[in-house]
Order: sequence, then C-alpha cells, then structure tokens
Amino acid sequence: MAKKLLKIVSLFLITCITSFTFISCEDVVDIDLSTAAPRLVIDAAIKWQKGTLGNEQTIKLSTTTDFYSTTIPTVSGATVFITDGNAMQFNFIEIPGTGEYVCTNFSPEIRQSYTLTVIYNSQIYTATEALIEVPIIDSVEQTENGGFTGNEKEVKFFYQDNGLVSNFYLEEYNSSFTRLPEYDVIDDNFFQGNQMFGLYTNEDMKTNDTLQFTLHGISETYYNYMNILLGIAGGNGGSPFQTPPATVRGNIVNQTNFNNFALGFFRLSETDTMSYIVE
Amino acid sequence: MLQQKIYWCLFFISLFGFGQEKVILSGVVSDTKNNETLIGVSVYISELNIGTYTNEYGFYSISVPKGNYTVQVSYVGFKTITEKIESNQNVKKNFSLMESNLELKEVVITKNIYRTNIKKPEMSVNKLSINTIKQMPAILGETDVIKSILTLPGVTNAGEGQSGFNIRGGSADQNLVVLDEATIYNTSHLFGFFSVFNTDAIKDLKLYKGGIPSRFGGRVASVLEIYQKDGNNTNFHMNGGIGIISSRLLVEGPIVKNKGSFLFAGRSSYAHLFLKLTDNKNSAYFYDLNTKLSYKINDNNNLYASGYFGRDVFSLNESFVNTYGNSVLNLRWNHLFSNKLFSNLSLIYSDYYYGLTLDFIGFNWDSGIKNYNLKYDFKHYLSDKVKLFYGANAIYHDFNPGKIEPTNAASGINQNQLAKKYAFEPSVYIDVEQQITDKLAINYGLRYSKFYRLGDEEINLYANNQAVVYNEDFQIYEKATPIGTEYFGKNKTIAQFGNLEPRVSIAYTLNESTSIKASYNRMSQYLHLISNTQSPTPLDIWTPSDAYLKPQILDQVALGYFKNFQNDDYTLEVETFYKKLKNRLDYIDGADLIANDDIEQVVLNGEARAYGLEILARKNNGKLNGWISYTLSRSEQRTPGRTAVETGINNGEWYKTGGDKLHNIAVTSMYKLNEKWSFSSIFSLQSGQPVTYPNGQYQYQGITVPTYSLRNENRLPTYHRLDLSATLIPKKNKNRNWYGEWVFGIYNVYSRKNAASISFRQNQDSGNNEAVRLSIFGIVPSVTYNFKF
Repeated sequence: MAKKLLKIVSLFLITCITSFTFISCEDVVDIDLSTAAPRLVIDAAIKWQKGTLGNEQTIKLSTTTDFYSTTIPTVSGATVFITDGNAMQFNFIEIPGTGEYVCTNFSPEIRQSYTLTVIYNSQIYTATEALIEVPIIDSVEQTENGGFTGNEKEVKFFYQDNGLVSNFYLEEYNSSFTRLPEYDVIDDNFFQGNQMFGLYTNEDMKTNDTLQFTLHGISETYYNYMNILLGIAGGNGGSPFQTPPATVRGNIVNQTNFNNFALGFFRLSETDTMSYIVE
Repeated sequence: MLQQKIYWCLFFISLFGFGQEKVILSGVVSDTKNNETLIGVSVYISELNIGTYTNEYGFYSISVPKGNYTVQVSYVGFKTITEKIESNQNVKKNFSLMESNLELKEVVITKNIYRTNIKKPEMSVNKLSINTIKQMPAILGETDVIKSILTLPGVTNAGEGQSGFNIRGGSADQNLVVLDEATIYNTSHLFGFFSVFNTDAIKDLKLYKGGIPSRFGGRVASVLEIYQKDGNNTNFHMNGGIGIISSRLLVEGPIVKNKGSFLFAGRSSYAHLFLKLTDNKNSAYFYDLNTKLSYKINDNNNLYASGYFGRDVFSLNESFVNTYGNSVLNLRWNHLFSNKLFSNLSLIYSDYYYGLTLDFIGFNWDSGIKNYNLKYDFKHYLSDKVKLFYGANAIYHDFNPGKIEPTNAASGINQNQLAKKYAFEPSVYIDVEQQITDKLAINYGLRYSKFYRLGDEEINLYANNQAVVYNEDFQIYEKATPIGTEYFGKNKTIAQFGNLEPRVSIAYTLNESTSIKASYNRMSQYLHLISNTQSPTPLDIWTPSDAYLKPQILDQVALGYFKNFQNDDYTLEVETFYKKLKNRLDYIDGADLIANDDIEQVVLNGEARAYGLEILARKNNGKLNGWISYTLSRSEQRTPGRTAVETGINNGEWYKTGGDKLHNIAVTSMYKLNEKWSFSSIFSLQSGQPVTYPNGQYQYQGITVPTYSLRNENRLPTYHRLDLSATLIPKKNKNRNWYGEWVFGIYNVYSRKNAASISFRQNQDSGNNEAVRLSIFGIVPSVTYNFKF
C-alpha cells in the first residue's frame, strides 16, 4: 500500500515537474556501466491455480549479466528438488539447455512447509517457505474516467480480504497490449476484512483488449522482498524521488559458501486468475 | 576550590571592567526612505578604534569614556554618516541612513562594511543585503533568496525541481530556517522553482554555516535567519511586479504616523500557465502572504506582529489534489530595560501542512507539524569590550504523521490516524562577546537543551530494545515484531535527552586588513525528517527523537583567513571546516516510510562526516562588482553493524551522502552600464549528485531486475548553467512618484540539458535496457515589470 502510494506520488511529482515548463525532456543517453561478476539467480515460484492439480511446476536458473545485454545466460546441469514437511521429494528435471527445470508430480497443500534445494557447481543452495492461500476474484468493474487525466479506461478486480489474519497479496497483470507482466504487492493493513481490489489503468488500453489479472497469496517475507524488488525494477530506478537502490537479497541461502549467495526467491502461492475483455 | 573562586572573580572583573568613568551611547539606526530599522549597521568610534553593530531590531549600544568623538555609521549600500558627538553623559542618538544608489554618481563609500568584519569573532557567516539580492539575476522573473545563497561557498542544492538546500554537505532537514524567528519547515514553492520568501517583504538575511551563536539550536548544519520588513510608518507606499509566471504586490504605510505601521505583501503564480497538459481541469500554482504590524509604544517599547501564510496547490482533474505549505505567526515585544540592556520576548507559532486527496483510489491524506515557541532573549552591552547575549526558549512540538480517511463509502479504505507525537524542547543559553586585546576578540557561549518526548501515545516494546532485527541467513535487516506496547498518558515522558552545546569563535587581527579566525561549535538536533529519497519531497514527515531515533549531535571546527585589499575594494575569505555527526539516521534497504506508524522498525543510527575548503573572493565597489566562490568538499556517512555479525547498511562502509559535491563554483557579477541599464549574471558549476548505477541485471518472473554495487559510487554528469538578466529603468522615472523598471531574464542561456536524474529501465517496446536522462529546464526567458509609488 505504502509503496503504491509512494509510486503514485512520485509519478505525480515527476508529472508535475516535467509538465512544468516548456522544455523539460527525457532522452536516452549513453552511460558506461561496470559489470559485477555473474551470480546465480533462482526463479522458483510455485503457483497453484484454483481448480487445478498444480502438479506441473517450473523453476528457472540463470545468472546476472551486463546491464545492457539483450540475452540472459541460462544455467544448465544443476540438481533441483523440493521436499515437503512429510519428507516427500519432488524432483525438477531440466529441459536440456534451457535452464528450465520441470516437475510433473508436485503436490501442493495450503500452509504446508516446503524446502527447495539447488545443487550447482558443488554449492548447495536451500530455501524454505510455506504455500499461502488466496481468496477468489469475485467481480470486475470498468469505468471510463480513471487514471491521472481522468479519461482513461480503468478496470478494478475485486476480492474479499480475510479479516481474521494479516494477508499479503501479489497482483499480476498481463495483457494483449503490453509486452511485460506488471506486478504490485499489497497488504491488508488499511483494508482489514474489506472488499479489496486490484486497479489497472493504461492509456494504451482499448476496447476488445484482453486484460488478465492474477492474484497470488504470499508470505510477509515475500511481500517485503517484492516490495523492494519492484521499487528498483521496471523503470522506477533513478527518479529523484526514489530510494537508494541496492541489490535485493531473497530467501535463498548458500549452505556451502555463505557469501556466494544466489539471487531470486523461493515462494509458493495459491493463485486465482480472471481474464477480462475490455469494453 | 579557592582557586576556582579566584578565577571566577577574575572572570567577572574582566567582564565588567574598571577604569575611567564611562557613558553609554545608544540608539536605533534606520533607513531615511522608509524608517525601516537596519540590521548589522556598523557604528564606529574612530578615536577609540572601537565599534559595534545594530542588532536585529536596529538597536545599538556602546560604552565610551566621557569625551568628544567622531561616530561613523556605515552600512553596505548606504551613505556613511560621520558625526561629532559630545558625550559627557549617556547619549541616546538615532541615525538615519540614506541609500547610496539614490544619489547620482560620485558616491564615496569611505568605510566598507568588511573592514570591521575582520575584527569580529564571527566566521562562516554570509550576509546578503536585500539590495544585493535584488541586483542578482531574476530567475523566472523574480529574484530569489534561496537561489541567491546558492552562489555562496559551501551551499549547494540537489538540483532543479528539488526542494531545500545543503550546507557544507549537510542534508536539507539540518537547516534551521527562520522567518522573523519562526521556523519554516519547507522553503520551496513548486518543488524548488521558487522559494517561499517574497524578496519584496524581506529586510535582511544572514546565513550561519558554522560558528553558530548559542542563541540558535535545534538544527545541526546551519541557520538561515530572515527578517521581514517592518513597514513604512511615515508614508503610504505600494510596490509590486507583474511577470509572466507570477505577480506580487506589497502595500505598506503608517497606522499611527511615526509610531505604527503595517505591511502586507502577496504573491501568486498563475494557475494554469505551467501545465502543458492539454486538459484545462488541471492546475498548479502557489501563493503566499506576508504581513507585519509594528507599533512603537515609546522609546523603550516596541510591539510587532508578523505572519506568513503560503500554499502550493496541485490539482489533476480534481482526482488528485495536493496542497501544502507553511504558516507562521509571531508576536514580539521589544523592551529596553536600560540603555545597556535590550530584551525581546516572542511568542511564535509555526505550522507545516501537507494534504493529499487521491480520489481515484478513494482517500484523503493529511499530515503536518506544528510548534509553539516562547522565547525570551537579552542583549546586554556591558562595556565597550564585553557584550552578553542570554535567554531561554521553550518549544512544544505537535506532530501529525498522517491521517488517512476514505473519500467515499465505496473506497474500501479504513480510516486510520497514525499515532500523533508530542515533544517539548526547552533550552537556555549564554554567549559572551569579548574584546580581549586590540587584536584578539573571542566569542564563547554555551547552550543547554533538553528534549522530552511526551504522551499521549502507545509505544511499541521490542525484544532487546531492538526495533530492527538482523536476519543472519539472508544478511538483511528486517522489521522486528513488537513484543508488547506501553501506554504513556498525556504529557508523560516517553524518552528524554539533554545536551550541553559549547560554542566558541576567536578572531585574531594580524593587521588593519587581515585576520585569522577559528571556531568550534556543537549542535544537537532532536527532530528528523523521515526521507530516504534522493531529495526531499513535500510528503516527507518530521518525527521526534525517541529511544530508537537518537538526537543528532554535531561537532564542527573551522579555520579561516580574511583579507581586504586595495582600500577594501576586494575581499578574500578562505575557510576550511571539518564536521562530525553522531546518530545520522539511515534507512534499511527498501524501507517504506509513507504511512508507516513504526518508523523505528526501518531505521538505524549511523554517523556522518564532512570536510572542505571554501574560497570567496569579492569585488565590492565600482561599476562591475560581484563575487566568485569555490568549494572543494566531501560529505559521507556510514552505518556499521551493531554487532560483529551484522553487515551494517551498505556493508558498514562510508558512502557519499546526497549532499556531496566535490567541486562547486559560482561566479556572480553585476554591472551597471549607465543610469538606464544594468546587467547581472550567474554562472554555476558543480559536480553531479552521487547516485547508484546498476552493475548488472537478471531476469525474475518475466521482468528485468538491476543489480547494484555499494551506494552512491557513481555521479550524475557535471551540472553547469549560465543565467543573465538586464534591468531597464526608463528615464521618465526621475521626476515623478511612480517608479517603474523592466527586468529581462534568461535562465540557462546555452540551454544545457542538466540531468535531474538518470534512470535505468527496460524499454516497454523493445524490451531492452536503457539509460534515460530527465532534464527539467532548458533555456527559459522571462520578463517582469516592477513598480513602486
């Protein structure tokens, strides 16, 4: 919530400042950047869509690279598996040469604890998380007077917060008119027990476009992680109203060499999805 | 013990002095034109080679042996008065000075203000008379106080479109900015494009970067003291300006002739002009009002009431409305107990408000800070060698960190008032200014400040008193979960602090035109501006110190060399400084500060240091005058781990603060071509602001995430800019009451695209990463018509 507010306010401030004068402008410039040594990145998000078995899951391994590079190096030849609290082990097998490790017999269970193990270059990385439940997306609403200018299309997806506990959510938007997914994290701090909503506006959104909203139940640890990560990713970085950026550490620990940590996060979410045709 | 008593006796003997029978010469110095009292006027007795200055209310007092003397009264921009005075008994003598530029040509300034400055144990202080400020380039059609002080050494700001200013590497919240003694919390209109000070309504200003007298406290880096005009008590006058961005009007005149006066000044920008957004429902504007009422009851008693009210309003389609601003009110009573003892009692209220309405999300947000300040100050002119300044003040602070409420029933937001905070800050001080020998003058003082954080408030309790915990596995800092709460009733003390703040400065005169000075000061600051953005935003909130957010304590030493050349036509000031600051707050990575009720969970206490060299060379006289300032400095901070296992913030290493500008050069020049035309220019160049650039990228959940090295290891490109302005005074002014002038200005003459920021993003269309520079101002021309009658 706070992050969202900050984002809105800083966007607003930038809007004000840039619309201020006749000549303010943004242009793409060449800035030389140094490149740090590559580091392992573990993208392990287990998603269990409501109404599915959730047996098929993918974990991606890659490394960091030069900031301007257009290709991301993948990591092959690692051993990847998850064990649950009942000592059941689920193995993830690489589709050769892709860095994508797939499991077909995963068994999701709400609030069950899972431990991820990745063995690569004789280093053992582990992380432990629980699978977090999510409410259903119960309705959707569209208005024509949203956004800053008040004349953009705006879509709200509604869901009911559980008032008995603190909840954390990841909101994901995919659409036919954007290339990249958009994320937001929100907690129920100001909304405890209320009907909550994910709000989407985009000046490029037109009638008959498809907008897909996915709601993920997440832990507080992951909420904190994504809160920071989203702050530095996706073009927010570098605004004068931005917080000092730093590399974001996730929940993955290198058991062999503590300082050679991996980036990324291991989390498990129940999810609900709704697709909407823009009117 | 006995020895100590003897020392004290000697001390007092030296303070009060013995010897010849003395008489006291005292009075008030004012401006002939409008009876406005003048601050810092030199009153000099040439036979005795002693002098003094008028205080903030234009009052001076000096004791001399009985006899006949020549008194010289001089002030920059005014004609010096030389007068013979016979003093066989106490003399009350008021002087009235005439502005030198009202006289045509041939103005001989016999004594420059800088001559006597050399002897005064005051350093790291910059004065800019309002006349000088008015000659500087009018940026965006108006001369500006904050932009003027940016031409001085040791003063920088974060760049265009950013609020506040930085003194000697300090942060913007470490500056005490007072307008007629009332604290101003935000000095900017429209994110720093204008300052909140209307130069028409201002009489004088003084910037203390170091050697800060003990009458000031509460902020660690600097004091910017600004005085409003009292208003003309003889005649009714109006002046104003009509510009393309803003207009202003000032009205002043007598309420009771020669006794009481009023002054009202207002200023406003035009609502829609700024926004190039096509939609006319948007607006962005500011306005402010300055008022002052003065009443002279008799020679020994004066009453003043001054006020300021300013607001910025931004509105986008009425769905996003943002209003913020300062308001202050000050009631003062000047009383002369005797011709040696001057006193002032002030009751001050100041307030900063920030409000936000986000209709499309469905909530209102209100926050602010208020304080009530009672202050009693005495200036005791003991002898020609010794002056005492002492007093007490007490401030009650009232913080509203934020109240959130739904704008409509469907908003889904619950009403929430973040815990209000209260504090009480009393202090006492004494300063002694003493001429030890002809060559040596010393100013020493002590301030004792206390701070009580008060209820009513419920305070979180944490295991081991740690509100921030270290996660050893992930090597990150995290919020601690409170183990309970403790309720403190109204006015119950939650936490308290006390600090002794010694201040001392010494001036040693090498010869008539050269001196060296040294100073040390300790300052403490109990309020923190909670902000982890690169530059302050109006949304940042102030919060008081408590058990987790410790008061900042600063020690500063400075050494300076001061010289006048060629009959005081040129002056040179060179200073070096070193500052060390304890308990500089630092924020854990990714700390959320907005609407955070538990700030203590995201901050750690660190330390900061700054050091540098400042050079100021001025040409004081002639058709062409101005100054060149250069600063070489460094400003760093660090927050080491609390235990050996913890990494600290930024790995516990020193990193450059946002206020670090290695080089900073400003060249200010003013040229008077003839009676009709005058020109001025400012060239400024400074090292780019420290920033953190990415050192790699990775892919996570379909988005690109940058990786970073340690904080602030890169810099934005060097900032430089040239501003010019020309003033045309039409000939026809001469023989009429209406005085008009045209001011033409050009901001950023060669239209350099200075980077306000460089951001790194993934291009939404190509998916590739790129660096994007945001520059705010290109070349901006302006024209203003000013009038006076």
